[in-house]
Amino acid sequence: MWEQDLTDNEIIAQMLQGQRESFSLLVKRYQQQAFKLSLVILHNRADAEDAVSEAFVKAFAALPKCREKTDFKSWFLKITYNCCQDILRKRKKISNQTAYHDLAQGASQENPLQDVVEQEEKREVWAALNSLNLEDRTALVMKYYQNASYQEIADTLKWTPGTVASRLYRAREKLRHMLERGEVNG
Amino acid sequence: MAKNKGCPHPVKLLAWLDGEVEDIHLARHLEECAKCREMTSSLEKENHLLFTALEELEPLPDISEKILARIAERDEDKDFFRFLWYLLLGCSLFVFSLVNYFLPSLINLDSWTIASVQLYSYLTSVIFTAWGLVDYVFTNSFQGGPLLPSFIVILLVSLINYIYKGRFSNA
Repeated sequence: MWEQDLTDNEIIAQMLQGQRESFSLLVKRYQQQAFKLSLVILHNRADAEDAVSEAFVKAFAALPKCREKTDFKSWFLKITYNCCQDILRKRKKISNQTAYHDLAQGASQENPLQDVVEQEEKREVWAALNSLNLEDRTALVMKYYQNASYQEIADTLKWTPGTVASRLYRAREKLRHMLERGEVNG
Repeated sequence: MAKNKGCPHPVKLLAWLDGEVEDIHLARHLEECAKCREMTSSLEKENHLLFTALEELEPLPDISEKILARIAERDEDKDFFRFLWYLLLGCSLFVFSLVNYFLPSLINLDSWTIASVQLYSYLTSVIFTAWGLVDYVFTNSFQGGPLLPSFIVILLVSLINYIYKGRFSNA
């Protein structure tokens, strides 16, 4: 079986038997998701990278406590969320907010005009997303980027699935209003 | 958005679109209601926009090597402090045994003082041995660290402490 085909629980089982290197498979599998969640929460690339590495180190140390039935992805994203909160608590306020064009990859050159329009649209979405409160934007990223279930979001944010549904709807409404009225400054 | 009578609540519509609820009636309603269809389609567009805005963020370079190095570094620190702790514990137990051994011959003590020192000595031996044993078993079961030498030191010192209790009864 290829290493990539192993499930998270199989990798964890291997690690608990002493194959610590298997952890790099989990890191490779989830680093981008965790990074983007951290980036949306912290607005800063360097802080987001710190939060992700701290989350992986914490997850490694706590792995023996991760029960067989626990879903590694949601368990790990919860740790990432907590690490981001720790960083936020340390710095008290959002500093060095990074603009979207510094964070995004370069646009393709096939249709420059369309690219410019799309980039502008995405920059506005990013700015609107960052105007939401911490929990709302976490919920939005978890749902619409990481495809997490309402239950997983509820576990991370300590909400009920019903609250997740209504908060997601309200967050999207706010986002829509901001985009329609051009109330974004990113 | 103005709703027709019988239109689902937007939160429910969103949950359905997110795949969180299964509702045949809702699916059937969408076939008939243009407003709800329009809303669903705009929600889908927003989903796509959110996804692409995040997707386009420059990815993080692979940090797996860095993470493994950090974990190894942390383990080394942990092992060092554990070693230091066992060393201190072993040394203090050794000094304690020596004091127990020489104390009666240096000072004339009454039988009650000797008995209380002896009891204290027994208790510390038991506590340290039990603690060492539990720690060794747990550490080796979960992490497989080579702690046998430090455990043997504790056991030996406790044994010396126990054997030389004989000095007290002869004092």
